[in-house]
Amino acid sequence: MTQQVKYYQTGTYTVGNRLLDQEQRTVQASLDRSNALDSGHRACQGCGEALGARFAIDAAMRATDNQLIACNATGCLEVFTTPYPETAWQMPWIHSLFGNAAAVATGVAAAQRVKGKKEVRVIAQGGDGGTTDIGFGCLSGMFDRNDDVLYICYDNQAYMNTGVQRSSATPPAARTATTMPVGPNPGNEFGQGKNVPLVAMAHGIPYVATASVHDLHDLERKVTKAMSMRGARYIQIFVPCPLGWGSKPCDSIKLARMAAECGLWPLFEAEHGEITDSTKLRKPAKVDGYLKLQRRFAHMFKPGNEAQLEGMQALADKNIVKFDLLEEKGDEE
Amino acid sequence: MSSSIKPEQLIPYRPVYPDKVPDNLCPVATECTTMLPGDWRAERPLVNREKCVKCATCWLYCPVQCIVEKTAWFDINLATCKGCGICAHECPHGAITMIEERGK
Repeated sequence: MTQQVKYYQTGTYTVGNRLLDQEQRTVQASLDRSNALDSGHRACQGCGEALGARFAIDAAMRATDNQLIACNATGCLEVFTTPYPETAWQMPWIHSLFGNAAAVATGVAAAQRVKGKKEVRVIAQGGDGGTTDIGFGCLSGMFDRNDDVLYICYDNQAYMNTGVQRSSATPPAARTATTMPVGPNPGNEFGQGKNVPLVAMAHGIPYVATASVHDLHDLERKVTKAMSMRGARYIQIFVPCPLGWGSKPCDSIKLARMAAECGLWPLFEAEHGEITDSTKLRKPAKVDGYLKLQRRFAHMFKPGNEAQLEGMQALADKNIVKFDLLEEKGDEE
Repeated sequence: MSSSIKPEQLIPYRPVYPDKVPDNLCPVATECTTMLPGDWRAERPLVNREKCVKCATCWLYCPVQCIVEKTAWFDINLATCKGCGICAHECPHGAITMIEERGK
């Protein structure tokens, strides 16, 4: 009788996954990982983006046998890795403008196609500002033309690099430099902003996924799956930002985990516009725990702002229903 | 507990990768930056070697990959460690503690 391997033995709690077969292990678990984003960069302490970028790019490099070119929009990721004349990237890497990473990547992919180098793959990456606001036109164009590019958005939910201004990925009620906690409805407005993974799905592109830095095995699996496909693909990775969120650097991974567990950051995959899979929650947590660790939400816990807290909880509950995040009873064992 | 840093913990980060960079795509920087952000630290991780079971959680979650694998435990490369404390918080066995830096 074969023993059933339980979820937690293969999940993220043994993130090293050294018990698994060699090919199923996390790329990063091996000593000869490619380290495309080298250490010695200038990211803040506890930067989730540095972690997410390294995992995503290293996984993509393994999936493409190191034949990979990255285009990088302006943003934190570009600023902390490449202050002239230094670089932390050990891979072919090009910096574009704030808004045109998708268009530049399209051009690079077209050039490789013309040169007959089909094995060379292209990744475009940027922060949420460069993706959801400034680069949105180019991104939508790339989806529309179905160019062979994987676009990775590192979502830290504001313009952190320029001093924490609101972007369209900023959650409701969050304090930023441009949405200060003053007036009757402190912080960012409810009911504004865009959900770019859903917008990407509406383009009907081959692959859309959301990932988070707490579930690294899942993140790598999604990137590897995306690299096995051709056409426009989009992955949005949730990366906590201690500086902009007013959280402790050591809580970065914890915050990512809590955001996923309360339903505010649903992890799902979609192919050709249809949701195919989502990471189930065993027991959804309340949003309070996640919000309390961040200073940008501190005003929500003051008397008189209970409605905002309820609003956030309603948002999480809505996500749980929308993306079918609840584990079905009787599924286990 | 001595808070002095041993010289072997300050080995500059050695890249493992440059020979694998494809050189037929575009020019690639293969000379690594000499910046060592280890002096940003206010707190320093300290590994309890008896508690460490080599699960590699710290190795994976470290945003600056400053974790070094030793035969029976994981150690920290203090030349690049920024002291964020993620390793200490995520270690499932509580084998890493953060201790205050006390000068050179």
